[in-house]
Amino acid sequence: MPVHAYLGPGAGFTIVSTFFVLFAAFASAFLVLLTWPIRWILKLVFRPKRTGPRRARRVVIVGLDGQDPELTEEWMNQGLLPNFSKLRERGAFARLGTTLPAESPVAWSSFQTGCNPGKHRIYDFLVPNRKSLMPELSSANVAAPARTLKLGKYLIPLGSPIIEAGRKSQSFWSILGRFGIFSSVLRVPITFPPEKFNGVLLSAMNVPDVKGSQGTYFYFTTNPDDKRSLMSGQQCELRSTPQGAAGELPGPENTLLKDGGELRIPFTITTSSNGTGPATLKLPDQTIELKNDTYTPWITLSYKAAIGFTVRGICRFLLLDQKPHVRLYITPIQIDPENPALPISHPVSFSMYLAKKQGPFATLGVAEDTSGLNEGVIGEEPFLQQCQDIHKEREIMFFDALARTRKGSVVCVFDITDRVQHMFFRFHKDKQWGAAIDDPRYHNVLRDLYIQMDALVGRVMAQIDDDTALMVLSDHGFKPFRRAVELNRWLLENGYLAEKTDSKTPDLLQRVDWSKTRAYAVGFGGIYINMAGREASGIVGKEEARQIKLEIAEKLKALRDPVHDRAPVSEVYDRDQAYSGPYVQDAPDLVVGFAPGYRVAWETVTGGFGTEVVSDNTRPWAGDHNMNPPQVPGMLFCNRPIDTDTPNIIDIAPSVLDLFGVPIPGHMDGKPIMTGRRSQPAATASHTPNAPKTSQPAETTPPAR
Amino acid sequence: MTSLVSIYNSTFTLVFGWVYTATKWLGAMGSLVALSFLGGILMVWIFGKVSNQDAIKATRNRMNAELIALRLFKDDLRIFFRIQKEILLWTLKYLKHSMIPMVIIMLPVMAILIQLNLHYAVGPLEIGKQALVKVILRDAKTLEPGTEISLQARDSLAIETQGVRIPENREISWRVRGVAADRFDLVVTAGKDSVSKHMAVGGAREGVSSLRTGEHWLTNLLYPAEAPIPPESAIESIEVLYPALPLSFFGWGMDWMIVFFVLSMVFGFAFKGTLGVQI
Repeated sequence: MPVHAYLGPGAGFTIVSTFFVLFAAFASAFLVLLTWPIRWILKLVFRPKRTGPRRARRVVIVGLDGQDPELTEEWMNQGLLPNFSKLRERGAFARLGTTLPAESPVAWSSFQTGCNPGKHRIYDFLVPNRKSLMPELSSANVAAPARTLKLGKYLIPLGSPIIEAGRKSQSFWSILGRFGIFSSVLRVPITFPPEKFNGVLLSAMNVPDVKGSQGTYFYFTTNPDDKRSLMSGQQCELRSTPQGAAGELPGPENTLLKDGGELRIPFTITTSSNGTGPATLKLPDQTIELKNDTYTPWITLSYKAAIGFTVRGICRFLLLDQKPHVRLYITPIQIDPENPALPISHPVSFSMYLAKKQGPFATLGVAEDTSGLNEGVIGEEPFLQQCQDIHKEREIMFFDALARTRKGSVVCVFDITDRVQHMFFRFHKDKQWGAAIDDPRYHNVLRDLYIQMDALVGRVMAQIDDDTALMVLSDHGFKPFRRAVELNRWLLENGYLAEKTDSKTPDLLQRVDWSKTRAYAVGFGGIYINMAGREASGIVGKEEARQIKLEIAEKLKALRDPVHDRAPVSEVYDRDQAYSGPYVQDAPDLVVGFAPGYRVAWETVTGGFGTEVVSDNTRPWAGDHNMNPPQVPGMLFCNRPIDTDTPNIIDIAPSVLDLFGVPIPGHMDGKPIMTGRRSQPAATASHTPNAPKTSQPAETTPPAR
Repeated sequence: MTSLVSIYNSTFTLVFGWVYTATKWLGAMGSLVALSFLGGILMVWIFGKVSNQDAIKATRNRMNAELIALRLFKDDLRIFFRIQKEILLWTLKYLKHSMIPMVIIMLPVMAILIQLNLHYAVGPLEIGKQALVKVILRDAKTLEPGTEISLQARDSLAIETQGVRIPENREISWRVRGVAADRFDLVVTAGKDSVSKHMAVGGAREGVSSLRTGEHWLTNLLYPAEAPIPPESAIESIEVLYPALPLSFFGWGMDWMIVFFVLSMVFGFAFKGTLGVQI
């Protein structure tokens, strides 16, 4: 009997698996080699021609969201940031003018398109829908497939979910792609839905969780007296059991069933006898050890919607307490990058590639759960841990992209700088406002964070050659957020807004009496006129609108903070002067530029009303950048000299195109700043603090550029 | 060792016989499919238990990641070939992780194959057809003239030739022909020693044992249906060169081992997820 001929299924599987892998590898190598000359000729013939000389083989852009130039300079001068200092000496360091408003979705949209917001249509996180008069996300809209097939109790979707991109215009990597230049783009905000181009892209800000929200975390407790009112989280029932506790983990809505309701995964927790030892979490298909105050790794959850239909998500569990009550925090359930329920990368296989290579990773747009800390569910240490873990994931994918993109552009935005500053600025001793909380444990969190970024920059510098242009930049700076300005309350008190008394919903503009309202506020500083013919219940005509805008701007600038005797508003910008382009009509009519230390109140952001016009910000989220743009510029480091002392974030896209010799489209508002031709500082591109522009902010005024 | 092998042989043959009997009603191919299913599942389960599943999962993920990378980074030839190198390296790592489980799994697989061989390799001698009965002696001197060596059988089997002696191989062979359906024991006598061997002629289509041996414990392990020949006997082995048992799938003749190989793999692959095993 020839038993030696067959070693069994185990060996058979191994042999077959390796054979297929090697076969696929060699076959693809053969095909690529075979077709390479043909592809090369085709590209040579049909690809648009570059018009200028190529001055870089590769452009690497490291985005450090929100890294403040003042703090960077201060710590550079103290010798704490040697790599940033080295970059400054070798190339350039400058304040980078930001957008109006100075917030990530707007600034990163201008970064990638080289346009002012009037051309890319991103003005804020939240904008009002002029028809429904409800706030909505500005940058993406995910809807169920338009058609379904009804089979008994099932509703079978005919097609994929519809994902509408809010950002208009073209990204520079898309333009580079047309010229055959490859790009690796990682976690740049406002890249969801992912666009098709010559390269790979992992989406960031606005990628939803599996529930379709922008990040719903979960808080479970067996304590019946622990009732919380969470804005971004969901408190769920956790039943006490003789072994510990039992509950159900909420997931997405089951759209495959008519009135399918929310999909749920049951779980039990077996606590340790003394409450300090490891507990055991049992899910239907896995058992996980939980330790107090220690995150689990990413756990894959499978929500079964119907036979053959499973929605996969990933989350991490954090056991907060076992005794006397079980308390459990669960991160938002994020789209599993290995089996994405929605496309979160281009091509779709790119997120799979990353997940297979480095393991599961956070995919949510804003993955660091600032809300969990802001709402007091998790403390500072778990929040920092979460930020660091996510940052490590990003570093791995970034350095992989750096190694695999020898030619073309590599762009990666790291968010840790933004998230940690939002939550830890209260411990930082600001020159103007001091520290909100004097806690020595966290005095140096920001300084250490900047040192960590410096080390990252050092590692990047070690991996690039002279033919690589390196830019390290931030989209805006950071300032303390101590006092909150409630714009809707102010509009109400000044007679521009009328309030309905019968509405039970406090926010989402539900308390606005549209028949008597002339102006309302939504988002991080946008004020909208209730225009006749534009808003569904508009009452203000064009002429009156002009007058109202002037009035509001003057009055807001004259507003005083009664407690600190300061002016909370540095500048109010009229959209007709601030923006240009085909989408100006979608912009807020006025944009408020708050003075450092002041920001719009949370109630206004979601279209609600507070009780005071100016009040103390008592939340942990005590650092911000939604202030007057000239007072919160970003920063730009470059390993090559730049042409101007006043670069602007809209200059980055044309600069990248120019470095590759690719013609800059006429619609771009920015100018190339790495041409090697040094010019006088541009008079219009001010970044100087306390120099607000009353009518035409240079950062956002394309005609001046 | 021989006695241990005998105990193992009789026990496992009995147990496997029950499983085989339970599937026999499905027909030859049907029972082989059922046994392939059980074999595939068993092997995958064992593979899961004896392998470092975390390492295999991580390695496989890396292999798959690099395969995806081939498509993602195909335009840069230098990167493309670096990825090829990575694939080769990760494949070697995967083989390293699979080596020990592969070796361990050989044992149960061999046990199953031996039993399958017993049931699916060869069938009874058809009536009117010829076969060879081959006897190996321990000492070639036994074949010298003067020592009587004989083969006795029932009338259902005709012995058509005198024993042909091949001293250099220590072998003597007879050509036999099936006459009537029967199950009985052939008896080979060499001098004072007599050894019997089960013989099947015609009748029901079933697996039969072609060899009775006492040569070595390993050989005994491979042919477990009959008790080993005692070591003091002058006869080392008796083999009947039966015809191969025909096995067909929709009229297509197949080797049982190929059927088992393919099906056990298919079932193993299909159920590895259910069993939670990374292969």
